[in-house]
Amino acid sequence: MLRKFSEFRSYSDNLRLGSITAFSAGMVNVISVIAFFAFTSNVTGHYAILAQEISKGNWYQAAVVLLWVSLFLGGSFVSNLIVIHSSSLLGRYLSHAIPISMEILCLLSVGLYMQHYYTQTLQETEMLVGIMLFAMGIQNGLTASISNFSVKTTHLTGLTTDLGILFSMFTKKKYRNDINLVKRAKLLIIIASMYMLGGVISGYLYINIGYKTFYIVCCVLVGIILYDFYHISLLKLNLRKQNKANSLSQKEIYNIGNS
Amino acid sequence: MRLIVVSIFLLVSIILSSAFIVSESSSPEDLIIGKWEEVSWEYERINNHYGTFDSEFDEHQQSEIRQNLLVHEAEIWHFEKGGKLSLTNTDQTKRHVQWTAKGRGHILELNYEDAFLEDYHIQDITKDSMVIHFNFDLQVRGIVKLTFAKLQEKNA
Repeated sequence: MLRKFSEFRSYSDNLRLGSITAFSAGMVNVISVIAFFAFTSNVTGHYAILAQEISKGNWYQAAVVLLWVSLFLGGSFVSNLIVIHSSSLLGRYLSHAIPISMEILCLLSVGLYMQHYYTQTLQETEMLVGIMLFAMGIQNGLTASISNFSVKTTHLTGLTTDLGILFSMFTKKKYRNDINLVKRAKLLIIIASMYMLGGVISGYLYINIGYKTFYIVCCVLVGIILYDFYHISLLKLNLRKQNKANSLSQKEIYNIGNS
Repeated sequence: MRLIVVSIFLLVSIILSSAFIVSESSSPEDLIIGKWEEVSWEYERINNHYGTFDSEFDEHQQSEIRQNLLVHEAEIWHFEKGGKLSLTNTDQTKRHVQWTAKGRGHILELNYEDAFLEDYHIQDITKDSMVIHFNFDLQVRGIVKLTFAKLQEKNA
């Protein structure tokens, strides 16, 4: 999921990454709506609210929303900055895993804060929403960046538009037979479904276990990192075995040559 | 390189200036502290009754709506720091609940002793007046508008 970049990624790479990250984004968004009355995985509504608050002269609220939007932007900026600047130094996997780790840290800190310190003041709420928006900015920036903008998982506006276009295209036989368009539609439907599923599950969990839902989201994200770690370790192990076998056969050739 | 520096500078300045405004301005949470007198109950959108426009609720409509709410007949809402809200009725009986502001300060949440939650949308708040809507949905504005006037300390 994380070790390949841009056009080197396969359809199944994007499918796995898109579905799991959409699941976590759906979870985060629903928790934030229930707990803080603010959306954290999308910013379209925040732009509209920002304009509304400015027009009403509510500078405090406008500044809060501007801060939130900037933090989402900042998250996406930091995420892509890490991807494009550190991949030559750290390798593809690590440079893609760092933004996910940062996202985990953000969500974990929100969960821990809610567990130990949260007194439900407005400033705390605004700060926690800001951290969650930053985390979602990181995730969206990462998935969009490494999938060459074909996977965006924290909001569904563009996805729904694309689906509408694709469905209208499928009214013509030549597009229905286009395997790439069918695959694209499947990918988008799976992302939307996983986002919804994540939302439903986290809504249910939050009502029953509260802030601990954040730890479950973190586990889902850790799963993304570990999935590729496992595959890389497996690949390295196979490579080592292969090298060992090669060196053994070379030794045999050498021994035969000497005898 | 210059472009990177400029973009980072712009992003950091936006974040810092917004944070500065947030820390220096009065938040809705600060503005709400004090005693508020309920002035009126109105429909959010004016309805046409028999050719005349009437946005105010009559007594019967108010009591019908209040059947589903826990804030019954409260005339004075006294918001205190620390999240305590005292509701004083017409017959001077008091009830205490917990209040919190959520979102960007646009949601007023009342938490009753029996863990019942009631959400209101703070539509407008100044030093002297406050308008709140019943909050049924995040995307849809409430249907009932409550207007409050702040009581001066000497009257309170």
